[in-house]
Amino acid sequence: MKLLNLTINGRKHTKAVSPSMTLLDFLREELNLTGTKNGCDKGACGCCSVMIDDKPMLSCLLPALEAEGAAITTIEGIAKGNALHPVQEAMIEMGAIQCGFCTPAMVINGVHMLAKNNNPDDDEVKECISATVCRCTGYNSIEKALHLAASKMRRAAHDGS
Amino acid sequence: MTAPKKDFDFARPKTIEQLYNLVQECQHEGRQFIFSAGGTDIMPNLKSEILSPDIVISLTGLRALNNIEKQGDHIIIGALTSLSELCSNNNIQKYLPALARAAHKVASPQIRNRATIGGNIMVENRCSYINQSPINRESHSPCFKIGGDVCHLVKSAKRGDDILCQARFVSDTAPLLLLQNSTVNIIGPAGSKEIKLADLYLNDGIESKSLMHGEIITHIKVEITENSLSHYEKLTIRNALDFPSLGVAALRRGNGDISVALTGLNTRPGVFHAKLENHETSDDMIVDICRKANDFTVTYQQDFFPRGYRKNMISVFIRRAINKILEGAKS
Amino acid sequence: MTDHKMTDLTKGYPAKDYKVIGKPVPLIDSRAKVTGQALYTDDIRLHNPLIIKILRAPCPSANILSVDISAALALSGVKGVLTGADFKNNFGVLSISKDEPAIARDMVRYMGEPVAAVAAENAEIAAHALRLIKVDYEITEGVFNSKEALKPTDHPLHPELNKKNNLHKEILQEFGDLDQGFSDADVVIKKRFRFASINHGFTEPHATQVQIDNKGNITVYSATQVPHYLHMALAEVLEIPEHNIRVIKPHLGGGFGGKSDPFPHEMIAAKFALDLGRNVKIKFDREEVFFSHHGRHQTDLTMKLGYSRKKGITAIDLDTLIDGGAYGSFGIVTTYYNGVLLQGPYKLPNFRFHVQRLYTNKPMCGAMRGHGGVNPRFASEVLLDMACAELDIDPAESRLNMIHKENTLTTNEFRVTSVGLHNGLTEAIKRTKWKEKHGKLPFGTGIGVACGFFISGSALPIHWNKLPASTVRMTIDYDGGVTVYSGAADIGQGSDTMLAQMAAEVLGQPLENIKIISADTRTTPVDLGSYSSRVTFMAGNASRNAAIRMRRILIEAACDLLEMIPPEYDRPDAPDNFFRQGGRKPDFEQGFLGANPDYADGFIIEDGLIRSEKHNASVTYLDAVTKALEFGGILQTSGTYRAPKLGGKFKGAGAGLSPSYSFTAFIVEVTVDPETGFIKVDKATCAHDCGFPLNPLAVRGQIEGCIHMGLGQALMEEMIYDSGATQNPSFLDYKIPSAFEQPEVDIVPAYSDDSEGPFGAKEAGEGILAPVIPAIANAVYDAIGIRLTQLPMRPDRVLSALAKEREKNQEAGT
Repeated sequence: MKLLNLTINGRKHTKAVSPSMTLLDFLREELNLTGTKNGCDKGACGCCSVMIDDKPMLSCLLPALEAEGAAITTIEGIAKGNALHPVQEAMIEMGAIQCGFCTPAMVINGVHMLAKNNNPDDDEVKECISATVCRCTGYNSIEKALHLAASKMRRAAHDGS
Repeated sequence: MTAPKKDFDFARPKTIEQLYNLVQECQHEGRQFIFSAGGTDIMPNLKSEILSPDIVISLTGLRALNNIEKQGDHIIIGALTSLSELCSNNNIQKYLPALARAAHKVASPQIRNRATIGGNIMVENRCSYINQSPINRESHSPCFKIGGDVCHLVKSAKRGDDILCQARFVSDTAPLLLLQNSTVNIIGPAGSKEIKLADLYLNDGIESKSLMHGEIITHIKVEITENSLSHYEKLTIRNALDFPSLGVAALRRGNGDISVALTGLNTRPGVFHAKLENHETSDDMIVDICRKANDFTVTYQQDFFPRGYRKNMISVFIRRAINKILEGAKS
Repeated sequence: MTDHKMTDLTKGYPAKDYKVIGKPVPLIDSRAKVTGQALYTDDIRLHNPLIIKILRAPCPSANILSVDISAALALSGVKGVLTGADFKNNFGVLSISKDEPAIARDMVRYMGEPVAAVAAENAEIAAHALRLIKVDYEITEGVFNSKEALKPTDHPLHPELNKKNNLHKEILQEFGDLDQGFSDADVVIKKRFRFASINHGFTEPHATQVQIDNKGNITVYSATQVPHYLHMALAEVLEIPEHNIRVIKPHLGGGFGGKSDPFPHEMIAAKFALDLGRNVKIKFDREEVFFSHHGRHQTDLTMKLGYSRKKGITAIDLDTLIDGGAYGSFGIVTTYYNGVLLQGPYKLPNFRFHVQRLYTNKPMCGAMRGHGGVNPRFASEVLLDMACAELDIDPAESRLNMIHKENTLTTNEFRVTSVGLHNGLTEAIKRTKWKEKHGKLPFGTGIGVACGFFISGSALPIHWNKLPASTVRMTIDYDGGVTVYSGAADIGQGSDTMLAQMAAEVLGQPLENIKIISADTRTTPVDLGSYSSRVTFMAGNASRNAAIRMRRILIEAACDLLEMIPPEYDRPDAPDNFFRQGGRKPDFEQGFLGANPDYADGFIIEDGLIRSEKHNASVTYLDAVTKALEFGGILQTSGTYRAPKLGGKFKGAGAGLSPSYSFTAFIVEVTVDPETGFIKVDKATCAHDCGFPLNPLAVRGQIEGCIHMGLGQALMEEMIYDSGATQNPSFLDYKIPSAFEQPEVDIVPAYSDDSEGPFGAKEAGEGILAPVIPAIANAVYDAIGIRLTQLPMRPDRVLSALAKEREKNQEAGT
């Protein structure tokens, strides 16, 4: 066991972990943050996406110890209290959620994309979700949701300025 | 879970000195170690028990190796630069746009945020019999790559052959780097050296890289070719996630000469040059390159696409890459 | 940028003053899912569970000579090891083919089959213990394809069937006069088609957790589409009473048919919990999901189709081999569906099908979205397109002319009630500018059409009994909140939302006032499960009926408060008012068809009031609830659904019977690169007749999802086997299309109003899938003039077909 220090959703954690434990297992099994999903465990479904230092990465492909000192955001850290992020609101509104197993990953990737660029084109939106498998929606409604979230965020930015 | 995975230790040295102290320690204690850059290829292989080291030594703590610099007519890329940083770097976009394109074609956005250029040029060769679930591997007798006595792709292969293992070379970024006469800086327990990138690659799928155990790549030095244009085309069934069924990087120099580098079609990358002065027309030159590329290709059935199709696609993709360049030259 | 405008799918219906249904409603569990709070099976935290791992056979065909578990058992931290000897009873979702052991006993029938299982204190110990189990296999010769499996053998996969071959099920049915049919045709075409097996690819791998109490009762949390069937199978395999078992389906990460069987790991987990008195947990790797499979059958079929200018399709003769893999699963149903689902959407007067399902040494196949109907649909729609091309008839027009009329019987006596395909296809033709495009686009671009047909639930239950197919219990609490209890399994398709919509609409409540408790065998009445597209029709009707009864009680209570005579008794021949006498006449006999939705006409429940329009008087909803609660202290109703008596009198007449059928039309536009053979689907226009769309947002989601899945089967998905070994058990190697491959989708209304569906609704989850694939193939023909007869339509197959076509043309030219 080795000691791991990291920040998750704004909260500092120090915990002893097995060196071969992945970040995904650490989040799910040690911290009970089960919103991050394990769909394939080999980096091919995208369901385990989390943000590490503001970049989406696959937590199944990372020993937890790799995240030493990092700031991690999981799906549990996206909404602020009861206030959903525009991406979350738009996902609900557009019917982009069916079984919901990929939804946390879609949100994580969408939030990251829109933080960098709140006016993405179709290809950028597709790119953002291209490596997260959704077997229910055919992606159309997720793309629409991300465009809708983008327009909400543009409006908010405009109103705010 | 079918794959009983072996526990491994993990370390993330922060300096080269720490790294080699650790390596020495491991060697002294007889502990098997592997290096991991981004780990996006290592981790699936660990989970599938293709690799089973005692310790994984992560290189991500070596922050000094994560940078991109222009030095004269070279771009120096730190080996631990992530592929997404590479894609978005101004110097890369300006001087090596085809490299940015090739890097962008690797896997997925989440993986590119993690995977490094050093890891990508070192990516382990792949074979459908090796990159498999443990049960599948167990169902066949062990092949050469895992210490056995058979190749399931080339049944006639036997020890003593020049090439024992046909596992495919699959790096997306290496072809373009090869065309740009890149060199790699290597350090190891015995000190540092600089070799041509081309010399990194060996013929056999088992030991497909010339890097000695314990050595790491620190930098890649890429030549900026004056007045050149380049492009990368990749064959996959999906526009995301997949390793290249074939990949073509093409470079046109200011004098009209064309070079092409291939990935996914042999145990190593292939590089072919044609000089415009040796051909009557540029089309002849392309035909010549396609012929060379075809001769080089060894497509054993170990991919989504059947071998015949992949062979047929070589010239199609070479032409596409070159045409894209020529379009760029016009505009 | 993508066009965000969406067609109003309820357009064209007579104005209905619905408050909740017909409106786009996000699924009611969306918020829990979008915040990561929704708990799926593996997310549940039981106290200190043992971790189970399964040892799987590394060979597809073998005799198990011995299994030595002593070393594993001796390992510290290992609490139990199970082998085939620990399970006496086999199981299977169909009562007529219970052929699957929880753990292989004497024989291994597919690579990846469980041969032992370990329960240990943690995953590492369990994994270590697996390596200590010594299995002595005697490798036997396997059977790996249907043709081989047809041959007589002394060593069949299932010796217990006492057959000298590997034929699992054979069906031959003939209707009408085939010879006459073909002689009536202007053109007769016969072709062979081949289809790879494909996997559901749901994102949540199988998982089960079992909680045990100190009396030996177990609660099984499992990722299942069929809690009721799982409940039954567990009782049978474990040999304990059903009341000692409670099955709960938590949130479920996709099913598509792949979680509609009881599974070995569920039996293993429950057995460990009972034997060891400990909570247990198991979760699959993705590769285990592929090894377990249960996907769409690999199919090799030959179809002959006759077509007449005047009469449309005159006859179809179908001969099919479907490769079932090692066990039965839903296979007998699949076998029937391969034939009978061709009975729509067009009139088919003369028809024969011969389907054989074979056992082979591969992972078993079972139900998958569009169950059994998908592959033959591809063949018939492609052959129809060929016939039209040969006769130079517009293939879309020709289809319009053959569609079943409403309220007719098919040749095999399916009762077709509502049909919205004609208007849907007409609209799709208009919207896509079909007539300006078909046959007129430049080489490399094309447009194609295909139609489909599917059941809205199987009318006959799997286990024959007279119980309702679905029952819903409904309660109203003191504060007026409504709770719907249903056994229906929400697998992500949104059935909980649908159940809530039913209650909200009938009871005049906002959707937020309706709470759903579902898929828990202890607290919810039986629903047979989420398969065969039955839930909206059956559980929906049950929920609506429960709500109608509840509404009646509330209105009687309102009448009591208003000192009015309830409408039911406000007539000369009315019986005594049971309500006033402090009791109610039980109303359980009244089936759904008799329940009058307009009961108590003249009363309206809305905005928290119950109003009598006739008497211009009102009471509050809450007062009525309180009044109604005075009698028994609880306010509760039940509603049921049972299918009407349907079908012919011949053997096998029950297969494919449904109280109603859905219809679908697709027009697909493609670009084909003749140099690489890549097919890009640019746009898919869908008209799906799901009756009245209860939730247009959910219907849209089902359509887009079916397009995705159809596209996958059409272009890239395939289970690859090498002598029985699954070659691509990963999401890297099993190619599921990404967002880049998904086309633009346009949805046009195809309205019908089903007389028996809840508020006129029918299925929207499965029937949509089948026509996607032939529409793509027909568009490819329009684009580059080739007919593809093998799925997936990989680029290399496109190029081979193109080369052959060019050769043929050259020969014809010389």
